[in-house]
Amino acid sequence: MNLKNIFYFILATVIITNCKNVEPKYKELATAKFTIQNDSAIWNEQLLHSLRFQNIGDSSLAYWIDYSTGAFYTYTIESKIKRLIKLPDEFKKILKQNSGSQFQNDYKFLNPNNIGFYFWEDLIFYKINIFNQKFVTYKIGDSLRENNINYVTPMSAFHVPFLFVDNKVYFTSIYNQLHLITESAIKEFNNSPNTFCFNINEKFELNTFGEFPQNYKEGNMFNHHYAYRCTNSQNQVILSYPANDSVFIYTSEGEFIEKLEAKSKYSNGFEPISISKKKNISEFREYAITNSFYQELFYDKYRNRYYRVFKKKQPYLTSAGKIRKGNNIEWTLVVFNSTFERICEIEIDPSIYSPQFIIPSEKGVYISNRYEKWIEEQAISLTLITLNI
Amino acid sequence: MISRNYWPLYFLIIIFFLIVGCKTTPYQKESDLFNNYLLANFEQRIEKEKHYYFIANSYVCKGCIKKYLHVLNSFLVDNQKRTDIYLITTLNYNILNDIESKVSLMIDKDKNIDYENLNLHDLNLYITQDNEIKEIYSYSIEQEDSYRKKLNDIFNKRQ
Repeated sequence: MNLKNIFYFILATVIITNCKNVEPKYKELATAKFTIQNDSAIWNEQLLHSLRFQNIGDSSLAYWIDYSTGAFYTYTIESKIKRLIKLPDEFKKILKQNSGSQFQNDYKFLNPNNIGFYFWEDLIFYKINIFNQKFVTYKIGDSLRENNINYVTPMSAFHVPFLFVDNKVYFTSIYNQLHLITESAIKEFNNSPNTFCFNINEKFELNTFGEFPQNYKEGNMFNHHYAYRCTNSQNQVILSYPANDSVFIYTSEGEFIEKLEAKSKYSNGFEPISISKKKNISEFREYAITNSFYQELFYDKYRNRYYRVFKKKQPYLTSAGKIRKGNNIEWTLVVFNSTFERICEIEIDPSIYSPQFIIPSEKGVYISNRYEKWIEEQAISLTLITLNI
Repeated sequence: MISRNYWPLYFLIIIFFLIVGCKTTPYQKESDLFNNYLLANFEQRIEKEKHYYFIANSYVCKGCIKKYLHVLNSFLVDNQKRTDIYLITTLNYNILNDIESKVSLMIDKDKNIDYENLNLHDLNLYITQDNEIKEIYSYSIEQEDSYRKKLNDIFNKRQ
């Protein structure tokens, strides 16, 4: 083989290798930007913490609460229409009373006519009809007492929101005394059902289901104990755990259907953390940053796909010796088809996008820009992307 | 060629480095990081006089911090500002309204302390003197007793 042939051989090898390594990418289509401030120039963190996104019908909706007045606003991303939604006056008083504990409140549209509000410190769920201004109160606490459940609590927050399927509300379960963790308590919690389901038909009923995966049941602790949940077009409930490569599928009644592998190509097992390290917030933070975990799970009804966020392993410190910030923590979006076969895994630029809000829509997928950008621009911004797959 | 015996000079250099080495604080790394942080964020440095820095970053058990700040407040005297006590916090707690007139309150709005590699727990106490950190105490969950004991030591000595 002469030199010329060797050159062509190397060139061909390089081209073939590069072609094989082409990763699926995303393409930015548009940016949606809106403000949740009314008049004040000061960035209102309380408004920001109340912000939620959801698909209602075929619209992508943002909504938030001004606790000082009890006002509830919606913004339709596609049509750029902002609305003030009237809530019952009596309920506004309840909102104002809970203004100091917005992290203990969660809410979402149950359907275009009804909003569900959950105050998990008081263990009360409200279903509010925004058209006829009637609301129904469900005393979750009474139901727990009737069922002799006292060491776990149904919780809901912006990062683990409740689900609503088929007139049933699903909450994640938290251990009441989690700060007093012992090995036996962790094992007990990890071997109990992790999902509360309340039927809010005429008859208010409680059902619990959801088994932790084996690596949790053994009594191991990982970054947290919450399962991420989503529902699909068949009204099934899918549970995803931060430290497990599989997802677990249940009927809306809580009957287990199947476990399916839904793995990131970067996943290489999950190291548990010891109790002593978990109690040391600095060591726990290092553990959470350096280890890989799954985060949110989203269902895209327009494409019958799932998106699972995967946070990669990374060093604790940056080259400048500072603890890594969120905008420097690498993550991917793992795309699965309807049967959880991996279609592709997309590297997302963490300096631009945050995995916190991902909203599939008809034209593409909205993904939230980083919080730092929101602060800088004093406006909420999302980017509509298409996945090049 | 100049031939001279340099050994006394070498000896002096070794002694010099030994002295400098002996003077190094056990918290040299923390002192450097904290000094740089104070300078960049508050245009201050660790001073020669004795100071107490209570530090609360954002990655904390918020309930624990509130409790620790209430305990600190119970040791402070109304209408008497302790200029040697600093409280650095990234978050706003209601109790700060009571504390701010009694200590030097430093609000880190940009939350830069969160990203300093200072092994911060829920509440942290740095005792500084002679331009460096002399003692570090860190309090996580379930350490209220030892925290109270330390505050007793500090406030009893001061009175």
